[in-house]
Amino acid sequence: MVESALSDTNTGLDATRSRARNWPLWIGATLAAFILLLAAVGPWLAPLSPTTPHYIIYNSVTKAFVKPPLPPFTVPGFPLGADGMGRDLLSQLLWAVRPTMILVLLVAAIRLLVGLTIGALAGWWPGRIGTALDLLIALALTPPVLLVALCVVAALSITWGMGAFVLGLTITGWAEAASLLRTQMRLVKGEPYIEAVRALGANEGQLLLRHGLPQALGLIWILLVSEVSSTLMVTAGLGFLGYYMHVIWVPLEDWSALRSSGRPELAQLLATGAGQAYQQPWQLLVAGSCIFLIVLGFNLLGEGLRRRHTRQQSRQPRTRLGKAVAATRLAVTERAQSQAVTWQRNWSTSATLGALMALALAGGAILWQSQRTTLTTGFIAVPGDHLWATARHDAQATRWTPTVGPAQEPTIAWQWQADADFSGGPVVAADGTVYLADRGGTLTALLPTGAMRWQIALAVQPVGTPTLLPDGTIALLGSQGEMALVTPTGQLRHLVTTASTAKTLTNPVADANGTIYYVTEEHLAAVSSGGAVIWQQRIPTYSYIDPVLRLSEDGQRLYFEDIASSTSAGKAIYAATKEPIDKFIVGANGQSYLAGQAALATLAFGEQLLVTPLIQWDPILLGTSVRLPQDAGVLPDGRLWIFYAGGFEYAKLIWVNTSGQPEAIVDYTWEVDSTQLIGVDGQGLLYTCGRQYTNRREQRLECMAHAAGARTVRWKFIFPENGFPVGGALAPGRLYVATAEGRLYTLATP
Amino acid sequence: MLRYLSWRLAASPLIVLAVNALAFLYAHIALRVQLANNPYGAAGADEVSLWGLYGGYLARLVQGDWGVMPTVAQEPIGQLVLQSGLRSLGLLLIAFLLSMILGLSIGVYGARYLPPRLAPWLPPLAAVGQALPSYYIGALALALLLRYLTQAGPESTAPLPVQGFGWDRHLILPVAVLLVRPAAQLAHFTAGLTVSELERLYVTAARSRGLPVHLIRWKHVLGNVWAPLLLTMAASLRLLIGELILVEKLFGWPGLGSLLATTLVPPQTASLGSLQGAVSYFLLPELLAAALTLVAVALLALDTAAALLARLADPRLGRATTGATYG
Repeated sequence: MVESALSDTNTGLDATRSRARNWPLWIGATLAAFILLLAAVGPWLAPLSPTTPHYIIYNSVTKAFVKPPLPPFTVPGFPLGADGMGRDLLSQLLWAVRPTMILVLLVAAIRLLVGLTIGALAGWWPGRIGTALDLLIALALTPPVLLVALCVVAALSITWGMGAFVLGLTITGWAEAASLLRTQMRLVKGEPYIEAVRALGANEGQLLLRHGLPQALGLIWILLVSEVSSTLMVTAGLGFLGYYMHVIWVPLEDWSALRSSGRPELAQLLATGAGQAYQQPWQLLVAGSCIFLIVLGFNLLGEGLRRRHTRQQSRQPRTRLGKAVAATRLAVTERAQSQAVTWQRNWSTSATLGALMALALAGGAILWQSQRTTLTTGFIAVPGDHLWATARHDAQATRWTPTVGPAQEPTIAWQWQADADFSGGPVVAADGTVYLADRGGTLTALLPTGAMRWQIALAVQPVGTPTLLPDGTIALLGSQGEMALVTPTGQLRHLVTTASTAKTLTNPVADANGTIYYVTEEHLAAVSSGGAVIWQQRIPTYSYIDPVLRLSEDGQRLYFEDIASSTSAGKAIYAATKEPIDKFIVGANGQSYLAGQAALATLAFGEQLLVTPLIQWDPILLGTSVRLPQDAGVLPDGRLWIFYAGGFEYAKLIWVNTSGQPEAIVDYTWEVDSTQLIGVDGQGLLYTCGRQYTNRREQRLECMAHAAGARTVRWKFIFPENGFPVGGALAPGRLYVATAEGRLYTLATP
Repeated sequence: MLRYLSWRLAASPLIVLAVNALAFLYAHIALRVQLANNPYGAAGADEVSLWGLYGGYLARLVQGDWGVMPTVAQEPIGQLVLQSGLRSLGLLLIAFLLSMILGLSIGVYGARYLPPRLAPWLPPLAAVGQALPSYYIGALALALLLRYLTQAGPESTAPLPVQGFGWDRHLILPVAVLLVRPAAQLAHFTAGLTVSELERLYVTAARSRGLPVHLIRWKHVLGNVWAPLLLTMAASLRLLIGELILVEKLFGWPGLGSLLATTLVPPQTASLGSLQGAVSYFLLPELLAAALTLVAVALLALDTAAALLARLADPRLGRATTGATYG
């Protein structure tokens, strides 16, 4: 395609065309500008969410309900129809142009930069370098670009994601541009003025950079638009075959999975359309038409630019007016001639190459940005600045900490063995002291170095993980609802007991005033830091699976399952939904949400609770419709994680972005019920631990780190001893892991 | 010429062997990457040395054993690839010949003689033709057929077969879809060359001697531009080989392109068994090596033939330092 864009440059054809209106330039520029505008503002123009399914739609024309897929122009509100899941094709298309064009522009710029470098060197330097580069160009030109891209993407897309597309489309795609530039450089090299400059003493490098390249750079923008269309053709071809960006494997059952799209993209629309070509060809037609128009626009723009370039070289004024204009232009030009020539000689190469590099860098940055985790700085603070104040880091149970854990492959810094099994995980105070309780009734404080600071035997049988109050006091619940309050120096301050001996249900949480809240099988209770019971209310619901008590960021409400109670008196104030699975959660950004089986909703508390759906996902597509989420959380950037684990299934973690699209699904193969989600750190790394069960003799404790929104493992650590994890905590550069066997491990990056 | 041919013939077996080795090793490495990153297939990863694997494969290859498909029938891979290759070759040659005839005719007649210039209808036609993806034309055809069937009623049958293989009407849709882009590309290029040739003095001389314009176009003008046209045709054929993967997939043509699509694209659904290679062809090393080897042979033959024909048409090409390898 690049060839054809420039093929008749030397045929003399353009002299005949110079008198004709340059309509390809105008039509091409209009189409290209429209496409780029669509890429910029398309998502805002989308009438519907591109990912929201509509399983049944009311057709106001026929006064009947219809099921998707919908052909174009049949149902009002869906002008281009809808796919098999009822997602609006127009909205998908408007969202899809942007990511595709960013990829295509990036690849075109890289291809051109590589082609320019190799082509210029091959054209300028004879001898071995030139021959070697000639061979390289010939080799790259031989296989079809689509086949090469297909091979690269097939091998690497699972690990490199979009990087595989960039590599696959570039690895041989540069050759056409290189071949043309090589020819151009050879023509320039034969010009007499080059000989003259050489005779004046210029070396080959100066000749190439200051005199050769500027002559070839006139073609760069023509080549760029041609590269855009040829890259898009190959990208679309890959899409038609089933490869597109943001692809994810969605597990369907225990041992099967489905390739699915993460976000709307033109190639993805083609892939979906190709799968339904015989049942719903309009999907393929809609996406194909868009590809056709983009390619046509850029082809015409390339043709128009080429004609303009040739005309500028051969234009001779014919009319009197034309001659007068030409004379004026010449006069003006001559005055600026010396500066222009100097500028051209010194800066035009740098400016053009700089623009190309800027295009490549900008495209790369946008693509990279769309994949990486961006954590904002706004997040809830832990009273007392403790590093890990409760079982789930904070009273809001976000499992998110602003500190950075062991980002690289860790080793065991130290380990500590207790006399009895641990009742839960560790907590870490602001000074780095680690507190743990064991089932023997001992609370232990360890220094950050691993040395024991103190131990205290308590008259309660500890349950779960302790909680740190703002002043450093440690609150620990017993199995029958009693609570021990221990000073940071290891003295028992209070032992709080109540008339009820109901079993303890949750870990305690503490607010900024030091008030501690917890739930037993009978009561929701509040205890002051002085050990006085402030209030006790009957437990608001008996419907729970993995009971967690959370405190709202402002400290006004307590969330237990889908019930919100006031912290002042413990009375239930909002009973939100009829769905027993729904839970109130608090994000690391401080926002309260209602997390359900297939949606995350924001909450506005007033006289009535206002629930607004924020993120929705498809549990059928994700294969989670029959699974109950054990926990969920929101990162400061709004990204959602849902953790599925239970006593009868392997654990699974799903990342959903703010558009409701699943970004990654992490399947854990650890022993059922052993997977412990420890938390997410400030760099967006997620830490999990579990026990790998191979056979009765081979069971090993493992921990892994994944980047947020990604499935690839950053590191995996296998412990030398077997163990069943019961909890963990993150501290700067450290991951603490407690096992049921009474061992505490400290993993740290060396 | 002879030296060039001998060099080509000597290098070709080495290139084919290198492609075979690369394809085999690539498939194994890619498969390992897939298995390592997919929890469903991790158990199937092997740790055997790649070179050892290839050595064994090569030894079997020398004995004429290309391996068997991992199916119950255990179909020989060599036979399958050869059979698919012949089906693709037939489709490719028919599409190529028709597109060349069409492209040349449009190109030659798209060049006006007095004054020498392009016919006004040619540039838009070429621009649209070159921007039309093959699967898009295919989808258009399918949509039209679907509409026809919907309107004709349940008793009707499609006027053209849209799926499957046959050296009959089955060829019509795949060939029609395949030939559009190469024909448009060749027409554009031919017209450009023809216009520039029509401006030359020998054309004026021939015309002044009373030769008819069509004779000048087809005999003298075309005779002088054969060399660049042959190189463009070779490039078009290469484009067709790429497009073949898409078109064969769309129309279910059981050729080499379809085989490559199956080998290089995972199924939309995967299971533990399929990822371990029990029933899937995805990244099957023996199959991929055989298919890519055949593609390499075809490309080499095409490249050599095009370069030789171009040199025959224009002996200056053999002496030129530029563009000798191009095509």
